Amino acid sequence: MGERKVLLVEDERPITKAIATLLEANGLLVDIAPTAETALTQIASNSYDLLVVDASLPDQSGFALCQTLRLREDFDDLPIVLMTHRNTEIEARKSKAVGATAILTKPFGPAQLRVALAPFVQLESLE
Amino acid sequence: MKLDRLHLRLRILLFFVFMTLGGLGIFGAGLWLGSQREQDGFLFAEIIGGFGFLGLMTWIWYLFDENLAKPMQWLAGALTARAHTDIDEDLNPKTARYLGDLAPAAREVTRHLAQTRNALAETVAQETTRLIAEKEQLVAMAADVPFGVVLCSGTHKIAFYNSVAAEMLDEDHHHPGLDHSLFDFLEPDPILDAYNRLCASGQGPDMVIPTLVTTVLGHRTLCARMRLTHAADESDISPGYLMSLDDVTSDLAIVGQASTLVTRVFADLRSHMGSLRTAIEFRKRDAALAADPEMTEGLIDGLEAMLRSIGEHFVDYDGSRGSLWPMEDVSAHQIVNAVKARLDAIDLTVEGLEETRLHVAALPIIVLLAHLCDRIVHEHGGRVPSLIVADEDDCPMIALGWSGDPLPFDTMTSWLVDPLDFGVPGVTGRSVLQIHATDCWPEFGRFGRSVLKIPLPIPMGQKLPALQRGVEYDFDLMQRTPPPMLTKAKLSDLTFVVFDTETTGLLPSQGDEICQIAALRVVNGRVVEGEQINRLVNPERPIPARSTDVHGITDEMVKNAPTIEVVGAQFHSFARGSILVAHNAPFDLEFLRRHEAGIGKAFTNPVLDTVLLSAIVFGQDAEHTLDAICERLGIKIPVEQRHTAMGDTIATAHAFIKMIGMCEARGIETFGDVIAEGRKHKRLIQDLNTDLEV
Repeated sequence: MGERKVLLVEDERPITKAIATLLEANGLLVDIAPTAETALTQIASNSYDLLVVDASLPDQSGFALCQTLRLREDFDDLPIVLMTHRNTEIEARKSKAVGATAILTKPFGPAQLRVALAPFVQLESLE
Repeated sequence: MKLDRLHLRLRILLFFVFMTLGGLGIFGAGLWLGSQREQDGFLFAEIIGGFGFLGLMTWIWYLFDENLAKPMQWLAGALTARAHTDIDEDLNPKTARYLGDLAPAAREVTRHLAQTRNALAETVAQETTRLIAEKEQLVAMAADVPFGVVLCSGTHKIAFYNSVAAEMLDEDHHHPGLDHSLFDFLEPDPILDAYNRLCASGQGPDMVIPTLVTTVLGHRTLCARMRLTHAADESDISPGYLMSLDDVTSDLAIVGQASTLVTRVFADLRSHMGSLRTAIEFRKRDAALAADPEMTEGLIDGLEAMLRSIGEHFVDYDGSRGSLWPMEDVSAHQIVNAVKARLDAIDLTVEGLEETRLHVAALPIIVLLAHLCDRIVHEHGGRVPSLIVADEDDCPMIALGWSGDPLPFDTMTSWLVDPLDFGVPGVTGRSVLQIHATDCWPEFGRFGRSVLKIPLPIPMGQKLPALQRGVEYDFDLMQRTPPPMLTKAKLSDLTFVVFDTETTGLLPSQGDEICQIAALRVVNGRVVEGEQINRLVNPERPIPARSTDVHGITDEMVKNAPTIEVVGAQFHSFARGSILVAHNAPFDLEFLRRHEAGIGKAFTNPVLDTVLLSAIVFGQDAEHTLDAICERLGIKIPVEQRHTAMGDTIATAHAFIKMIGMCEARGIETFGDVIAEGRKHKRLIQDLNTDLEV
């Protein structure tokens, strides 16, 4: 089995650095896309096992990116974890409606990241 | 031959013949008995004759009183009652059968009077039917006005109010009524200030002054707009005024809440930012500080504290978003209809639960839905969406559905930043969603349909009882001037509260208590239909079965009712400024006055008693039970209403109004006159106005 690849769609450098560092420490390959447009380009030319998407991106929202991917048949099963900013029932329903597989509400720490990503990738060293 | 069939004159002749013959017979018998004695024959004859004559005279007086005097008094009372009130009932001929032709003649007169009165009433009724219909239309229109309307005399007494105003003025069951002072409900200063400026302006009804006024207990703030009914002039220096009322309590609370939130956020941020920026300025200019781990750690701590504080404000803001705009409880049906009305060029179809109740800022939601429908129609080449009302995850939701591709999320987002057109600047779809603590999103629906969902999660407000629509008015009150002294006040100028209680027994001194109280107001000689109270009272003791047999009230009926301390205070408030009226008032008042300490109010109102009025009008010897009075006055009490507090109150009120009319016809016109007349019958019933000098 080859290395598992994650696309992290996030424009804020500190959080990108923090998440990427921890994922790479677990043996995952991490690509970073600071905009939705970059993400779509990278998805078109790469195969990813997981997408971690921020809800607020500079060019469009993470919800819109999710919807765009779900409307394309070839990304039906791609796991998408959406990082949102509101911990509300409405936010959860909206995320699910646009096709997010799971949501992670900011702010979060390493432990919450591990719980959210655990169904999709192996993250042993985060214990 | 029966005696009552003889002519009256013949009967009186026979009466005197009998009296003469009887007297002669008695004296003859006395003389005969005296002549049989040996001694004192004449003395004996005189004693026998004297006692015999006394006995004969007593018997004759009794017959005269029973058969002539009493029926004549009854007939006089009955004729007076029919002369001054509209009693249709025939005189009972049996009661005056020994008065010869007098009773049938009186009957003919009263029949003719009733016929004339009925004919006149019929003519008047025909003439006034159109006016009544017009009046009812006007009343219905006034009742439907969505804001409070109050008309007051120049002495600030209420002469007109609609149910919306009653709802606004009512605090703690302190219900407004005709002839009540407006200042019993609203703080006087702003109203007096506006009234004085209106009078001084000389512009009469052309000038309107808006003012904010609070209710006396401070529960509500109302925006009042005042206008005089006519200009103040020499003939009327205190003109009446019309006042419209709008409840702005929640609007002011919302403004205050938003303002408080903003103030707190800025105060917190200013404090954190000041400290952090100072530390950063120093760090930038000092290499040693920049390398100092304590400095770095301190900055991170400060940053964390600021973020924590902002996070707390976010929670407050999210929690209050639903209340930052006036919300109302409406049915989805109303929302849907309003959206359709705004989109008359689009034939919108509706699906789902239109009876669903929603707690929303109605107009913003209606405008947003209409805006989204309009954009969807244009986006999908004229394809009309359906408006769907549903419950999803126990949350009411309104959605727009259409056949075709889902709406791109970014397109929807762009529509939400369009300004909405409903007269409030700067409101967008996004801000409407924010004030409802919600969001919207496009998704695939069932059967290949696309939908745009808007959940409406704010819980329903406390359901208010349906408002009784209507108005109460008496425009004669606009002309009424307060009497200098109560005892000099004309009866027609006074306001009365007629009441009755039902009790657990007849002995308050032995623990019997009130279990029901009913009251209604009589203003200007008429019962005010909309101003009455009828409350069950928990007597906090069992109701004996024999009492239940009388009034029908059981322990089960009163177990959850308020106690007399609560209901007594409501009754006291209802009766303020009025004369209390009851049938056998000392009985009812005794029960109430025993609880004055618990109620926190004293029942010091002047009192009138229908027992005393009956004695004044019909004579002390007449029967003064409520049933007897009602029968004499032609008042019918339905059997099922008799001995219920409200049934007896209504009967007492109508009897009272009729007897007041009869008193006035006799020249007993003022309250003092009635009290003075009543005191002539004080052996009948206790005087409850001993402190009044007449």
